[in-house]
Amino acid sequence: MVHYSPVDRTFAALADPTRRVVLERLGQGSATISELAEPFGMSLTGMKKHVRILEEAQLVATVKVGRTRLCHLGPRRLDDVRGWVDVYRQMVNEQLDRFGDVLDRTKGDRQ
Amino acid sequence: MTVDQQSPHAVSFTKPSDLEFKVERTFDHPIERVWAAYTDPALIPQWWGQGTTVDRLDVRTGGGYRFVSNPGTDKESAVSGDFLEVSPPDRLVQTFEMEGPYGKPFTQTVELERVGDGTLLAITSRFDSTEERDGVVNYGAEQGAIGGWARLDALLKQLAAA
Repeated sequence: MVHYSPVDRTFAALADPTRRVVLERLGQGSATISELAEPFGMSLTGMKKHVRILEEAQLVATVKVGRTRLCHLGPRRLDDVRGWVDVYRQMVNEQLDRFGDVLDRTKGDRQ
Repeated sequence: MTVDQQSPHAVSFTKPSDLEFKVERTFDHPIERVWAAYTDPALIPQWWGQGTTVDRLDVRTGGGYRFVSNPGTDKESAVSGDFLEVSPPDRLVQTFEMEGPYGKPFTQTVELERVGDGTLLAITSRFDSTEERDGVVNYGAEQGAIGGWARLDALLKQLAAA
């Protein structure tokens, strides 16, 4: 059995392009499952699955209103995620190039 | 910033196993100089990014480090770890942990290799699960390096402001 940490869940939830668009949409205000599914031409069952994953990652919260389920952004602080993501982005894309610049610039200054 | 895949100095990104990702780049400097610069606390703030300051750096087997980014701001964050193996000038193994609720330690192996008059520097990051590794690299690599990060960045900014 695989145990997912909060960070696993968060990244797994954010890794899917559909779910990122859903978050973007919910950033503009709450929406029902069918409103979220409609632009993708997706079944309600398919969208429910995406919303459940976002809910487990606490990126989305839902509330039942009559016969529909209303979705809105969840309690997870995205600033925290962002700080974490920044570190990796730097590691992958930027640090080695900057390190190269430092090496070139300090040529001869140090051993 | 753009990535020039043709450049001999382009950063290469690979997944050597189900648990790892690896970034590497060559530098036109001898291995001793690359090692010295890589482990120089005076130089680290210049390439680590985000206004990083070195809180602690003890480069020896059993030693450790702690770097603080954006100190004194509401974006302050810290990474820290232990040096499991330090063998100048070609090998360094360290743990890496982002402090705070999202932190989860993993292992980084830094390898330096003489290539002609230059040096190939490779950093392999090893995670506990494929899911965690993929979650981390999906933005950096599979979605097209910079573009993917920029998009995620923009999204997270927007969501944080919402």
